[in-house]
Amino acid sequence: MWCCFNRFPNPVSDVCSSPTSSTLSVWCGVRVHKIAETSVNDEKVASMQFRRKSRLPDVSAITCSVSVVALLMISVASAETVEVSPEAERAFSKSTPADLDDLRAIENHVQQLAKAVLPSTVNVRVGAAQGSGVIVSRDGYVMTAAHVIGKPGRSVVFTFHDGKTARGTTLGVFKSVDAGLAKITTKGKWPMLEKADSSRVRVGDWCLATGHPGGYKSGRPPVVRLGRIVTRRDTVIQSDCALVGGDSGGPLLDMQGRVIGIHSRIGPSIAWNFHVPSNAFVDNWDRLAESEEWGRRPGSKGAIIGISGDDHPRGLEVTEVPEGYPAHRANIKPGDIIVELNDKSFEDFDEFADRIREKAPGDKVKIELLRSNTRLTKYVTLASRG
Amino acid sequence: MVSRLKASTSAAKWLRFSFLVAFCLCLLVASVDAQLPKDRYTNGGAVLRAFSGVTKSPNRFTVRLFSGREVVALGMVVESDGYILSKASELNRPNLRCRLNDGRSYSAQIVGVHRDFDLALLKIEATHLPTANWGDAKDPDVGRWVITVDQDSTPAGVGVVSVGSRAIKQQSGVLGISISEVSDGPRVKEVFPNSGADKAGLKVGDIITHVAGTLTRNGSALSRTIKRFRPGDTLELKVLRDDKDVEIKATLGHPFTSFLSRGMLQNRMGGELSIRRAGFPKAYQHSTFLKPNQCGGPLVNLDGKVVGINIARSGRTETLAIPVDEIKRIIPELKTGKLALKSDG
Repeated sequence: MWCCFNRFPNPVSDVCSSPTSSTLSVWCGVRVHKIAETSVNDEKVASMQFRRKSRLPDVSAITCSVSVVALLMISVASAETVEVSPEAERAFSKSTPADLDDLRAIENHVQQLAKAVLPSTVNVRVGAAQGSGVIVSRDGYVMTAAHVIGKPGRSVVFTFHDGKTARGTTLGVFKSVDAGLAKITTKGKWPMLEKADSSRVRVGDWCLATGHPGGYKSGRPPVVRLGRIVTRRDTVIQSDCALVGGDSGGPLLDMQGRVIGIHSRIGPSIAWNFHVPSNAFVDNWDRLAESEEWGRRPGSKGAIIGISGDDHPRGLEVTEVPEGYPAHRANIKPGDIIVELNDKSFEDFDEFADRIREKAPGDKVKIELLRSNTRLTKYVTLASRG
Repeated sequence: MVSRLKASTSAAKWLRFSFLVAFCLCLLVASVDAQLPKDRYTNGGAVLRAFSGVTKSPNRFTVRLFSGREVVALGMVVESDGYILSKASELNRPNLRCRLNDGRSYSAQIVGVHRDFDLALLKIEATHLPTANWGDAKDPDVGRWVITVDQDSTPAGVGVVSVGSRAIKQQSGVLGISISEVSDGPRVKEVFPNSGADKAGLKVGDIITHVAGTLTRNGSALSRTIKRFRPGDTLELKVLRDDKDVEIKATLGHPFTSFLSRGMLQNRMGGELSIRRAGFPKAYQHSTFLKPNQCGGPLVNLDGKVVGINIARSGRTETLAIPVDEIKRIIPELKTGKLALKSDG
């Protein structure tokens, strides 16, 4: 089932590149998010608030102890963050850049930022599957997507921006939000980035995405994209940084180079790129670090209709109909008000979504809609994602 | 109504005030869970307008290439006496015309094609044209803005440099048929929908005797010949149909286009890709979202100087550009005409 709110379009495909899987995995629609939200909320009540203390060596502690020894060492031990100049700060705070000065300030900053964050972006290979990841501690904890690493205890090869590799192991997975943790076991001090408080991310914030779209390609460092936050919820962040298979697990960064999200899944529109909020990791750090496996990965079966919409007093208003999907083929258009599904009215978008979800791919549904006050009937054959 | 409002008591005022407070609270709540208006996306109208000062000068040397009424590619004037550079594989179309920024339109002749870089030099009968204002021969740094100029003050798209220059690996093209061997040669058993063969009108039962001037005695000779070409190449085929020789021109496609692989499907999520999008000896990658027919034109920096030519929309996350040093090296070669367009490469 694939259909969703305008405010929160549903992802269709996860962005891990897995040569072994012959069918396209789906994070399916509204239900997924309900599951995800419920479980996150449950976790919150049960443990999130109380388990925040990290088992990890605290980064600031390292910095402090080192600073006693030598001033130079601080730069070695601290995370790769880039200070935002007042000019850049001003440009980033505007709803849109106003002029060339703003654009130059953004450019100067982003260019330095890209350099600083690439060493911490890694390719993550687990068996035949690969994705991306980001190092968030000196001793090599790597945040990635649950669907990239699958389960705890598997061996991992990490490949750095310069082609060097390190070995490691997978730790915990929180499947319903797609958060996964791994650790580099090869001895070393690794280039790390800090984690941001994702609850403070605002719609319109500028962000940088890095990762390995299409999987690791020899001679190609991680790929940099600049974008903005499109939506933010507790369980997911959407940006217009375009992602594709292989990016999964890679970091979405704020303008100080802190991790605000982990790439997870995409939808048919170029601006439908979804990231696991960093707080899903921070709030569950102990469980992840202790190789716990919990939550349920949203199912990958189900039918797709291909409508994005908003609640409407009469039912739902269609806001987007991506090309090539069943609704598009049935000539349903943005602005249409859907009032009946299979001769029965429905309360809101959620109910519509629930009822579509009860169907199987290949089923034909009858849709009654209003277009410029004319009542039309459309028959839509639901598609499958496989 | 107005007078009644004026006569309102302080209690009513208080009510109105609290209503206002409630309203503001609603707005606050709404803004937490809001969605970014499309206008403010990185490629949205409001953001693009900030770049309008950048496009002013490069607009003057940016051209649109038409076949009939359809824009097939953008291009840029590289020499004032009518030499235009563009993306070669998009230009294999009838009645190619070039529209300058001032509105004048000319018939365009292809003078030379560099197959590896997929660059074509065209000539129009015009003089004293404004020409490309070249930027540094050095690639722009990763993270720098790159602006794709069209003929409007608003750019066709903006993005940042994602990866510095490297070789983009070659792919071979496919015709989109399956064959069975018969004594006369390879016989078309199946034509896959939407493939190059399908679009060219190849039919089940056709026996393919020649491809690009090479005799194809059997299936392996046929596939060997086709493998020498890339997606986007147009080949001349001779086929035997109902005992008659028929000549067909077919454009090669990508493997898997009819049975989209997972990667291909994801890459197409969000827009069409250029047919020829790999096999470039050197190109850098940027994040600009473009349509295939917005390639071939200038890519500029914030100073409005040309830092590359867009050569392919190559994936959901990527557009490729050829760096300035390569362009400058290739133009004189193209001008000699020794690299003229040939269907057999």
